[in-house]
Amino acid sequence: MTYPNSSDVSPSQPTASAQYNHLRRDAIYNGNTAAESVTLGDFMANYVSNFALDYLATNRIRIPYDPNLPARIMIDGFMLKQTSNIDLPVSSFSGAAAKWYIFANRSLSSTSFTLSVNTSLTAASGQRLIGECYWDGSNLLANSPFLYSAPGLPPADYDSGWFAVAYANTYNKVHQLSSIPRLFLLLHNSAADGSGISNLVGNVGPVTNSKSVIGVNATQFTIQTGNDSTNGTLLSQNGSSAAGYYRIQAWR
Amino acid sequence: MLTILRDSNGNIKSYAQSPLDDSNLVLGEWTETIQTTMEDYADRFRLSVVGVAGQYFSCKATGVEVIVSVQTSLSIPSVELDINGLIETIDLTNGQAYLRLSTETPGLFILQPADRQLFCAAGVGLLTVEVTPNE
Repeated sequence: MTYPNSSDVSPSQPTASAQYNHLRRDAIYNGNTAAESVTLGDFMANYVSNFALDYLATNRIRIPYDPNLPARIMIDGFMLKQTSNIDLPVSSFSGAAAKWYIFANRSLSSTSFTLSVNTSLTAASGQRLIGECYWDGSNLLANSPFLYSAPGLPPADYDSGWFAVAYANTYNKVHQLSSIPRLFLLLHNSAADGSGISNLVGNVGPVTNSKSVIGVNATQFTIQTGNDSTNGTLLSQNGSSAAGYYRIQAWR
Repeated sequence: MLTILRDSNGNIKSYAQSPLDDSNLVLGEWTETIQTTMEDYADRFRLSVVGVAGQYFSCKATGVEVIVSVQTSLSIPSVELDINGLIETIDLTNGQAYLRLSTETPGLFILQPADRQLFCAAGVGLLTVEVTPNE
């Protein structure tokens, strides 16, 4: 690919169709052809950046304005940018407890956008689905607004799932990350499906000589549960255990 | 699909519902797979006190008996229970029985299945009940 295809023209120089078409290819296809590149508009159709969703008392949502990092979004091909705080109108929620979906809306003759919510996740013309929140029937839960484009913690690169454990045992789990994970968690649960309280496993019994149970190298996790029939797999203020289920989650 | 991990003696050491082949079979351990769920497999042998399984249970030495529920989803008339190393046969009615533990004296009860090749003494298959001094 040669980019750009087009070149400068001089005053009074005749402009050939090839020059126009090169310029068009540069502008629409980044210098490529329609067979090998989507249009710039298509490429940017789902663009969204610098968004944050804050709870705004009472029962409202705000996209706060930062002049250095204004929220930007593409809706139906229109490039929009906020110029001030964008607040959900009052009394937007009603009815029974439910998950509500948050939309950014394009307005005619505006380069900014507005917010709306709906229990349906289907975006109408001029709307982009950007997140969700939870209405409990009386109030918007303050920490429930969730932005789909937020850079959250990604799914674990290794997840052992729940596996049964007992005290005074060794369990090896090959993670296949080919490196030592940068972050890992060991959770304990008393229910096989993880429906009970998940406790973060720290040191386990014996209480008088408590120790950590998990280690990792570039190949596997090694878990050695404590030789303690009361606290050998969990020593916690939420409860102790000599059995139950462990789950390892690790991020590369 | 469930993966069952057995030790070199064929005893069930653990079980997990994961599509990953992540077991490191040291010391002669080996695995087998069966078509079931974690919940269903856990129900093959479950020990609980007041509905709580998979956790340590503590009570005071008040003399009020602790009632342990012994449950299995297998169609068998009885199970052998290992209580502090002593084997006791527990007759089942519809897969369930109740075991009464004395709390007269402080001490520890460690309950688990005696037949470790049939049942897993981990997860909800092992229960520790501690009777602490009534102070």
